Amino acid sequence: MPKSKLTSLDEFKLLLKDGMTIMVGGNLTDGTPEQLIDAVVDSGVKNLTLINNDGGLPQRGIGKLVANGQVKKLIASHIGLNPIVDELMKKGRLEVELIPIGTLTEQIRAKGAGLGGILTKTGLGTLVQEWALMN
Amino acid sequence: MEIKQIIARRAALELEDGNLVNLGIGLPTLVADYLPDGIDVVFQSENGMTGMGHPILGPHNRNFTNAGGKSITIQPYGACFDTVFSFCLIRGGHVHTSVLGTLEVDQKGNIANYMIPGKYVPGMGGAMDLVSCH
Repeated sequence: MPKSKLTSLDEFKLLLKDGMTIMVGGNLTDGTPEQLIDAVVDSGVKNLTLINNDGGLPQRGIGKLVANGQVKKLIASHIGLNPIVDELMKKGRLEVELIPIGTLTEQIRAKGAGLGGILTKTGLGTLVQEWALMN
Repeated sequence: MEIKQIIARRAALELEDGNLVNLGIGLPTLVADYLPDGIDVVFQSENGMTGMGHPILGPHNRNFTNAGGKSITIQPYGACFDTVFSFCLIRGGHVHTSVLGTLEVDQKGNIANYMIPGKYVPGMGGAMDLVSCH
């Protein structure tokens, strides 16, 4: 009999640590597990690096963690719909790494699939190319 | 007719029958309202759908949204898949036409899309992938 895929929120909270990297699903908060986000907010862990499609919305999805000051760095493709991300970024309180969404999703897939990397034309000749070399 | 409708109607004239078409968020979504007679296309939503239908009014449906977070319908022939596959369609050159919003366009068709340095940084989303197949 295989182990259950289910766990409790209390067991989930035990996994959370300051400074950890959390990858969160969802497109502009649709598909984001709000109950789990609330648990991360409640836990008070900070200096998180978040990976998401976008910056969430001001008080929804990962936006809750951003607004609560728990996020040190956000890796995403689009942040224009969360003004709190913009505000914290400009104040130097949130680091944002922008990656084209096609590249970001393939990076995630490649790592998970045990591949060393991907080759893509996307972003060649733009600042994105320089940022990729820096990282 | 408002200027947005004029732009959308003109952009729709670029579509060819049978195209797979990607519509960016915002004004480009209006193009779906101005398909010329005899032109049938399939709309892609980059987050992971082909056969995207019109945005719906009424309560938000988290299960069917376009890239801009608006609730949409899906055509009977439509399909849903993950974002990785969606960008395989885009980057692999299987999307015939993209209608993209932009911050600025130059005479060669280069676009400024994701940043006004120091002022406004919305991020590129799928736009760089959408232009990369040319």
